[in-house]
Amino acid sequence: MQDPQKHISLSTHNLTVGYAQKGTKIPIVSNISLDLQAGALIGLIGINGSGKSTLLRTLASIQEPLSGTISIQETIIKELTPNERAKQVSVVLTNQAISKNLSVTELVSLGRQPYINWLDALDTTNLEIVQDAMTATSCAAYQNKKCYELSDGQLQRVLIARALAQDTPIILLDEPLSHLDLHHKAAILKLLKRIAQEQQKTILFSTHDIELVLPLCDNLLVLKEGHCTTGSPQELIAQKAFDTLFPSEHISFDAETARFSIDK
Amino acid sequence: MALLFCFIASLMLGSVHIPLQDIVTTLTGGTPSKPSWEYIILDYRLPKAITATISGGALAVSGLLMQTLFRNPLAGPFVLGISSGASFGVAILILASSALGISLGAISGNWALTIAASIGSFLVLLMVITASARVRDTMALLIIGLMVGSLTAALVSVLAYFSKAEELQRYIFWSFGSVGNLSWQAVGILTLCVVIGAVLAVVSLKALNALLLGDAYARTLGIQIKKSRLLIIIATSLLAGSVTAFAGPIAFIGLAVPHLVRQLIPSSNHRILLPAVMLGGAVLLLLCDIIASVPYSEYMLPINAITALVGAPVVIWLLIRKKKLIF
Repeated sequence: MQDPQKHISLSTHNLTVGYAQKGTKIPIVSNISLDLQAGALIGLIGINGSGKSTLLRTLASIQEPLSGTISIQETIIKELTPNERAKQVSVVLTNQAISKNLSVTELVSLGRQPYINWLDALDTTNLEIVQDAMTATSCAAYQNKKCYELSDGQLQRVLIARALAQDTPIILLDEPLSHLDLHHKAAILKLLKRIAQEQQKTILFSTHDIELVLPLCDNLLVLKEGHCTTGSPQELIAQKAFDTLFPSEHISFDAETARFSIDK
Repeated sequence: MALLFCFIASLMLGSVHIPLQDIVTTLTGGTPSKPSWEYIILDYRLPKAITATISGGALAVSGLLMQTLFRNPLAGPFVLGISSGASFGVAILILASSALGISLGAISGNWALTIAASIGSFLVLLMVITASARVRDTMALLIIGLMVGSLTAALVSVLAYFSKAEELQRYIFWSFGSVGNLSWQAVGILTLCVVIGAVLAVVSLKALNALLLGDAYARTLGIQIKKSRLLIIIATSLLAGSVTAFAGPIAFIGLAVPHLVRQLIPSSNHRILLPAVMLGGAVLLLLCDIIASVPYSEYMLPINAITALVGAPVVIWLLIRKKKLIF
């Protein structure tokens, strides 16, 4: 089910993200102009404090942009109602105080909220979508368990299933690979890649596992010193974007192997 | 079923025992075998049982609302300072009126207490709601509520220090809480407030479920946090505020019943939790009221002591048995 002309699902124009404190604006990343395509898996990288989470939270409308605009399917995001927005963008966040007393099915079902009435009851169609989301992320096997019984890797799948159930063309993930071992990192990454391709979704995720994601990502956003650079992994390697990603005293990047090494 | 059983038991039991048959006759409009029973049932026990049912349900629901809104298992109906506001209002009325030279006789009726409690809790809530419109962080709101509570408690202490023994006793008796002594008119007003509060809680169902994932997730699910938060706070104020105004600060029910229900019902969906908690609260407070009235005796124990005496061991037992706080 390939879309012949890949359309732009998420774009920003001169977007500046950061915090407003007592009326003064503290920008973290400025003048971001992006066009993210449907069906693309996009990695967001940058050192700690470079603004990855702030950018994701701004794109998800959890916080306000300092200036500039964000458009979804060519509609400016501010013109959408909260509920319309919820049908366009879903998120997977880390370190949220979610109730672990929710069962897996209950948690995934919450993804259907934008589509149902105030009574919050699901009909068969909605239940099927929930079931499909759990099957696609292979968490149907433990769907009746409570979240406090799950491992970190299982919980991450459940949170991704919830975002899938929300059925949005855009999914934003904040460090979905953190706290996972190599096996589970690879599994989640391949899952995201598959979802992006099969369901033609735009998936943007932040990560510190640069070497791991380079071969799988269609595009990367690199945040460095308040600026945002974009390109395919190959383009960015050619531009030597990774050579200067970290302060040079400890780490260097080898373009041949696409790997970082610690300077001895 | 349990609710119906407790409700009828509470009509039967008291300082005099009235047989079930006579209760049914009286409620259906007949005359019981002793004429005095008709008065006891219709003007004392029935309003008392209704008050206990409604108050228990209302307090338990407001406890659930606060625990979900603040994502904190220690939250209860009074974390926003509702009961401390009410206490302050009553303290001013009872303790400070003589000092201010107002004759207590003129304003000492039950209605005066109710009005004072309402004004007190309303003022505190007004402060909290104003704060809630300004702060973004829900946790900050919880701390503000606690601070306002400490502030009013301190003011009550100062008032208590300067007041006479009998005034102090009157204040302490109010603070014990009581679901008795409500006129039918008062029961009507209480019911109205609780029904409106319950409707607002039901309207917030979807937001409550979304809040189980935290504020950030709720926002991305299309929930307008500030609006929902305000709605939940108003619902809580109506529920807990009206009960406190008419029956005094009844502790424990609001904190414990949601935990009890979560241990018994394997769901976090508020569509199931909300009615279950309401029922649980009603049953528990009715039971406590039956125990507090000490059947067949002249005594009437403070209901506030009984709720904790009965409830706390149950909660502790459940937690130890399951070895885990489900929240």
